Amino acid sequence: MLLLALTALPLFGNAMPDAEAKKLLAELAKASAKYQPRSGKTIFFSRAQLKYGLERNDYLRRWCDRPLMQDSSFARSGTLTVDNSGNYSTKGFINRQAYTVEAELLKKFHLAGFAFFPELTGRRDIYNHVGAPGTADIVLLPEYFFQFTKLTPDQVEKRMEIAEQALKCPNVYRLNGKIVITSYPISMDTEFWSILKAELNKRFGDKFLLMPWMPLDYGLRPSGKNKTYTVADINKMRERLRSYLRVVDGFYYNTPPFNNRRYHWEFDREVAIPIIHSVLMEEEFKDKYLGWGVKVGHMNCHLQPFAVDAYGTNTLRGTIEAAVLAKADFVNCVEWDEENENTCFRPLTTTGFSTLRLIRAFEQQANGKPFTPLAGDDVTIPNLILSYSRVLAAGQPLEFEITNIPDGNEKSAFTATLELYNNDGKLLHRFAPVKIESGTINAEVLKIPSEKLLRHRFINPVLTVDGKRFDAGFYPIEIRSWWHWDYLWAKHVLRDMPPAETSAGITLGEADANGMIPATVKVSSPRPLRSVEIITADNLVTYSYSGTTPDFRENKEQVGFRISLQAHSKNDQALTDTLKFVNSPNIKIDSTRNAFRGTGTTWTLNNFLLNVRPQHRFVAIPRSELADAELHIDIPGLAENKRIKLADVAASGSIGLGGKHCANLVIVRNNLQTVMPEPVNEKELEFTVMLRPDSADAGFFVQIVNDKFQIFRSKKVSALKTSGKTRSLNVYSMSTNSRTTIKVAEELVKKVSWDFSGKRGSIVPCSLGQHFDGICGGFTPLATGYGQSESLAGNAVNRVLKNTKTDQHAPEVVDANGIPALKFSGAQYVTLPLGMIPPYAGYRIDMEVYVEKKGGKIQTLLTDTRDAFTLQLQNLTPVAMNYLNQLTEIPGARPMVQAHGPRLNPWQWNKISVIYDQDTCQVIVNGTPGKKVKCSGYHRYPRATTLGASERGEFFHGMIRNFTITPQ
Amino acid sequence: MKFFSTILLSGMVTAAFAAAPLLQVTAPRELTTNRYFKKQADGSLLCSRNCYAVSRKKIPVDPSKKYRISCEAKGAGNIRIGVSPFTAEGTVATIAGLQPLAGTETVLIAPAAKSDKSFKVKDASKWDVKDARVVYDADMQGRDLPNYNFFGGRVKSVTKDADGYLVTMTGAIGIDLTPGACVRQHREGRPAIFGSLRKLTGDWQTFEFILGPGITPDGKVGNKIYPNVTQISSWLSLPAGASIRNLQIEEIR
Repeated sequence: MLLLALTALPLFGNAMPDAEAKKLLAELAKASAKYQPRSGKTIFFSRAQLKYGLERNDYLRRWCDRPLMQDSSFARSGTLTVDNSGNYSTKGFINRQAYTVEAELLKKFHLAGFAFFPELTGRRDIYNHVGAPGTADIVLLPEYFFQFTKLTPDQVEKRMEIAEQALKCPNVYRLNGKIVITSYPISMDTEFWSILKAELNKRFGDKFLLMPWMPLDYGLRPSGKNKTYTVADINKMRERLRSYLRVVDGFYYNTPPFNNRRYHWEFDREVAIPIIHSVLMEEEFKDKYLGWGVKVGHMNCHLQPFAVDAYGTNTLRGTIEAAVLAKADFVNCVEWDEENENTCFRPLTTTGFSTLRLIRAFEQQANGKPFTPLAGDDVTIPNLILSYSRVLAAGQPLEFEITNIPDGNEKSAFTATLELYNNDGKLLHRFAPVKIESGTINAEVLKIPSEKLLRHRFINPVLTVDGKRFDAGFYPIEIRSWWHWDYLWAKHVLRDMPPAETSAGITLGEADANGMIPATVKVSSPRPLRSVEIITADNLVTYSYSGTTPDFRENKEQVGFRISLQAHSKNDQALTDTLKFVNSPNIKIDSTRNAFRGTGTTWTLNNFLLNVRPQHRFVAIPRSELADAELHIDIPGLAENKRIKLADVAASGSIGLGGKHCANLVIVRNNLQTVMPEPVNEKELEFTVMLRPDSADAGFFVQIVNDKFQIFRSKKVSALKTSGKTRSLNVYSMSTNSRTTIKVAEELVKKVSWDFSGKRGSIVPCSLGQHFDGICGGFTPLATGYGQSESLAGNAVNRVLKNTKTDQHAPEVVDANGIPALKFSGAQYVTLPLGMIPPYAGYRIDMEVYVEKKGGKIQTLLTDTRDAFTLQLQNLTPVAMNYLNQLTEIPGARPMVQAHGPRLNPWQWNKISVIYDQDTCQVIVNGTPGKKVKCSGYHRYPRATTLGASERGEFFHGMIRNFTITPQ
Repeated sequence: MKFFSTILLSGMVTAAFAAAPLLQVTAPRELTTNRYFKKQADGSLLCSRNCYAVSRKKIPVDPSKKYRISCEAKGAGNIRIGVSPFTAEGTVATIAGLQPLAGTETVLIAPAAKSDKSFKVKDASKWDVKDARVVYDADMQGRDLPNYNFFGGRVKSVTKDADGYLVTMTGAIGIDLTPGACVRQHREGRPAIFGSLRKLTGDWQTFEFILGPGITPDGKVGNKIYPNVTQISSWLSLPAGASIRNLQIEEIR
């Protein structure tokens, strides 16, 4: 939901005022001291989607994080919808128990309630339940949708119904007696809002405060580096604000500024707040209100790498502190439970209660309350949060943030020392001790170049605060050589760490004949455990302990399979008929709520319309029945009369069947957890499970959560055995802003290739393992098994496909003189996982390309978006384009560094090599080198990697074979 | 053209076996230069100035078949009759792009820069200095035709040396190429395929042009339907004051 909003955010650097404008703003700022919230206090809300309930058990593999307080047993409690018998229905939208838990959570952490969208399906059920006996007494903040088309009478009427319902509900937020309504997305359309405002007044009298989200500097922001706001710009913003306030009842500022993905503290404090306060203090607007939207980050790695970096707690602290400084009447934390974009404020497995604890402290600060500890806290433990990135690629700085949450502690400061150890317990680095003020919300940041730690791979931090040592249970850090798309920050509240007696460990054995690795897990906890999980790359749960829940993973006795469907949203082909499993009398089939349903061994599609959301179902077949087991598929238009031998899939790993509009049906051997079991309620466990790493270097660790939602992690281990031989790797060190050459175990910088033979149908297998598999004319979540979003996951070209004249998007597999090749024509592509061109390291890309004279002037061979890397043909001349992010900060520099190669010869195979050693980039064609260009840096926005097309289309016409990427 | 009389004769014979016309022009609006034509009382079209008359309608052609383009004309001055060839995309396949010199395909053996006036090829033994155009992005199997990727200038000289052949042009070639790039010699061309100039008189005469296989066995004349030509229009060059009628294209069975 925030995604659209991000288009309005100044992500590409923020201008600041020139000298004259600064003088004006300083004058305006004087007024800020006198400004007071109209309501006399600041209320905190968090916008909730209300569709990602804690009762859902399908959070695995879809998104990069999941709710910490998830509980599958809640599903039995029914929903807020009451059926005809007066009982809670199972068919409603909002789960009753999940709502109750989250409402209590809001109150506990000083949030007044949920903002929400009453226009969405089922959401209005909450009006009937909010404030009910036995639930926390929260209030609701309704938000209208802005639409970019003219309001019709029906649309006005719908919004009036929502207002009427709000009026009837006592637990709707009222500001000085009037109900507040905000909006999404951003708009400048005062006519739209004036219509609604007039209608609200006409129908109900002056009972509503309409405060839509409107921009302050949109369109006025000076573009270009070192550009500044002038006095005229400042005055235009003030006049714009006046124009809004003449129509609506207040200003809802929900557009925090970002510079290079991180919150830009100065703009809000030096520009936005003085302007807003100065206008609100004008006599004409003395009755107008102020709302403020705040963010924690926007970091769904499967959607986009990270549009807004959480930077520890920095984005959160920066935006909320601005709201407090602005003396807003209400603050909207955007958002509570948005999984697609991972903008969540609610506790997640990676962030714990860090976000809510900070909000609680800010609420106390905003309303002049004393800082206090949370009920139940052990106040002998410093109230600090330790945050850091859980996975990095060599070249990125490993940053640690230590944040203080004031709680009335008598100490003036804490002294914290951070040390880093490898898995053998060897001290790798000790940071100089830092002093952290205890009386304010503040943070210290420590940094070390990650490339210095690469040879240890797994790093374990130890924090000592005033002699108290915290040395276990933190998220293990992984430093990778080159591939990386996980930008999440792990945040640990020291007071939320489990008791010292807690332990968890994992030991990997030798691979068996099936290539599976036995993992022995041992955990011990003085408190009952809710979950015991083995986590692998990208926070994927490969195993979750359960005594009861059926397991569809591969193990010694059975082979698990995932059957998945997905298509482009342009798809208009309703699928019918069946998938039938035969010759496996003891097959186990999941009963997951799913769009392609079915009972027994036959699943029937009943005019099922595929879309961009992957649909997964799981089965497990006893190994003794595997040889004969088959899946018979009869789906006209996708796979007709197909007989798939499941033993073949078990041997190869996967097979894909492609159809029109990017539709794909894949059958994949599965070793990942399929559903989240109900709480374990055990204190001691020891068990062995079989694991199959998705890639040779995959790491595993154990994560346990106890009944107080305290999280403990084991050390991370890997089955990868290194020979001791090393290779050089050139990386761009963001710490020194220069190329650094490091030695890396050769197993971590292997050449990567993809198999174009078509042996596995539409799946394009990767030499590194399933984690990197691609898919012809489809979406990578089907091939890799993880990732989901509203539109972009696993397919960079999704948006342009709707404008193409064909419905066939999978390239054809052809035999090119005995070498398998992919032939692209029309609008065809192969999608590979995110950022497969090393974003921080040097690389060599090799491919053989055959072109005819057809095709556009610009044809894309390979890209992970123009903001990262693109290799395209410009009138048959190959051009390698590296978009280097650090150059965006240098005035006069061009971030897009282009290296041209010699022109290709059509009607014959051309060998293209792109060689980038983090000093120069060069394109070589058929042995003839192009000009070397100076090139060193890191890519800005690596996203889904694509062969044969770009996010703008620019489809390739011709053939590609022998495609490899070698980090170097 | 020296073959014209032969073609005319053969056309007169084969015309007896022609099927119903595939294209007929009966009104000025059916010509691209319609503003220069006026329909007369007898149904003929009177041309007001020297011009080309190309039919708007294009008919699909099969390279294995023969076609007869014919009209009756009278007036003072000269007439040419032929066809405009088009690719599947509807662009005019100009004749130079369709005029490869058989056996002249070869590859560069040294890099060539766009400012170079000479380049080295593996084999230019069949190159003809008189037929002086050169195309790049050629394909040994002719799939590049029509090919409009002409080097700048014309061939000035071809000299054999120890490695291969040095080709010197009258101007810079205008493109950077690497060894292995395939080039070919083409004849000069025109925007249509047509027969030789014929005189008009005050009496109606029939003029025709035959297109198809077997007409030009040496491959040097443009009556062959080249690869990538998928459709044709009728084409005339007329003097002011000329009148035409019964302009049509038929397939010859």
